[in-house]
Amino acid sequence: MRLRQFTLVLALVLVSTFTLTAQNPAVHEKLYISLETTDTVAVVDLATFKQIKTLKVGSHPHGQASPKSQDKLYVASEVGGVVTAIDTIRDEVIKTFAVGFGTEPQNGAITPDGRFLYQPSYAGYWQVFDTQKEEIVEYIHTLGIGHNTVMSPDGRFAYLLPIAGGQGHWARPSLGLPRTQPKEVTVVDARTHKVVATIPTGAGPRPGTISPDGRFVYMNVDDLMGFLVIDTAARKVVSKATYTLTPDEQAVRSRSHGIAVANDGKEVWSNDVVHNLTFVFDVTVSPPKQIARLAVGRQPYWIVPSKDSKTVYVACPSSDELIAFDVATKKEKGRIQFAAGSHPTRMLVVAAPRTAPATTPR
Amino acid sequence: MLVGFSRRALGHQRGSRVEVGAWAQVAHVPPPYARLSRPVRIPLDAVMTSWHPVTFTAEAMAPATATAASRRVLISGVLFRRSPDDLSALCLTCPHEQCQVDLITDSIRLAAMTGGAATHPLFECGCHSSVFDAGQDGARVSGETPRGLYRFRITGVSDGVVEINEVEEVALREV
Repeated sequence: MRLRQFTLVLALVLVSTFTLTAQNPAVHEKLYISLETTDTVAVVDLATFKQIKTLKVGSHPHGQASPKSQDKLYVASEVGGVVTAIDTIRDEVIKTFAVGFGTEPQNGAITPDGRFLYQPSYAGYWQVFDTQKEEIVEYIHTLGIGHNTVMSPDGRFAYLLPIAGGQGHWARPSLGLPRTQPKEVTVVDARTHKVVATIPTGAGPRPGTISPDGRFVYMNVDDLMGFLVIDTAARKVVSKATYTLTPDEQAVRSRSHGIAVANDGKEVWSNDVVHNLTFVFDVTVSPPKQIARLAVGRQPYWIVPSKDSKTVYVACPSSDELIAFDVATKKEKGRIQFAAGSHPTRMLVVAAPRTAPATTPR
Repeated sequence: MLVGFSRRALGHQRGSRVEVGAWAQVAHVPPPYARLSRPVRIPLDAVMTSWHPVTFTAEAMAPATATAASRRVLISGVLFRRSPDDLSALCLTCPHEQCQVDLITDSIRLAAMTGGAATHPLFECGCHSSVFDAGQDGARVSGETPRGLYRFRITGVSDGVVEINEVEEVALREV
């Protein structure tokens, strides 16, 4: 009897160890990752951690967004100014929207109901794209270079994170719109598409993410090896997390780029690009406390959690790798090597329904 | 000038976001150089083969600015032979956003990057795919970078040792 119990426990441990992500049978959890130089998006099955499909999209695919229904994915393409819609149930391209997304569409976000895509452009504004009418219904000018976007979990607010940037960014065409270097986050009411606040950040915003309850935005910024914590109710920066680096590491300029919330909102994982590291912070305390420092591939650039937030995926474009980490143990548990020079960067985990919702227009 | 293919054509092949010509660096004006804290010395034997990269780390002091004190900087560099009688020493930090670039020597990758036009290796940044000409002292070819790679100056070759003791001054602020 005892032996049988022991065998059962052992089997459960083994299953939990080797299954990369706990899977809800009603959905198919997949990771979509932009392979920048091949103009494709790779589809990775997270149960097996294998690439199962490659989809041709626009040139130089960048950021991705998916609504709460998870049956669609929108991929922006930097070159050519298009956004590609993908059916995540069949993993097929549905349509390519070329509706004037402007100079280099970047990393957008979509309202949970799937209606409005907040699509940033390098020209200095966000476009609000109505996915039903298939047209841009609003332009939001931020003075910065439109780059990253965070949607609150309830869909009430969109947080626009424009780049302050350096020479390489400002040499790009502005389409005549004034641009400054606004070191702030712009808050937009996602029902009216109107700016309701700005949050000073003291440095140029970089990638950001939001806690599951929507209370905190965590954001990388220029010249900070770490991230800021923004209280979304108070609309202000309330604390700062700083990586612990050796003197030699401090002598090599790096950047923080890519940030994710894991472990049910208790941890934030954030990349250190040039030192090839990912740091983990306990965000249940203020300021956040560093609890792990993980060696990853070359120049980690993006990072996302699984739907249950028990696995974190780190994209390393310079070594063309995608690495899976177990959140509980902080150990690597899988690695995908993409073709040399394909440069996997931005990505999103999607829990696609197994069958199309009855109300989903096709 | 790139050998074997035009910069404009390459920029187009790579989906460059702007006309390559708009990014051209000002030619024939030597940039100011700064001394390293100590010279980097590399055996000449290590770079006898063309395009064989030898990486190194150089140390220098970045001067104080209005907002920051003087600080110690470590700069990743690469020394390689680009022709039988010509060495090149470049900083491996991309001027766009400080990612590290790679010297691409694989002919299949070079062909994919240039539509088959490349006749010699190129540097590529993994973060945003900027491309630099290894045969032209790291000059910008395409991508988001505002300029070519920062350059080291080879200050002497004697007794079978290559000595590198200067770097473009601007690199001390940017890397």
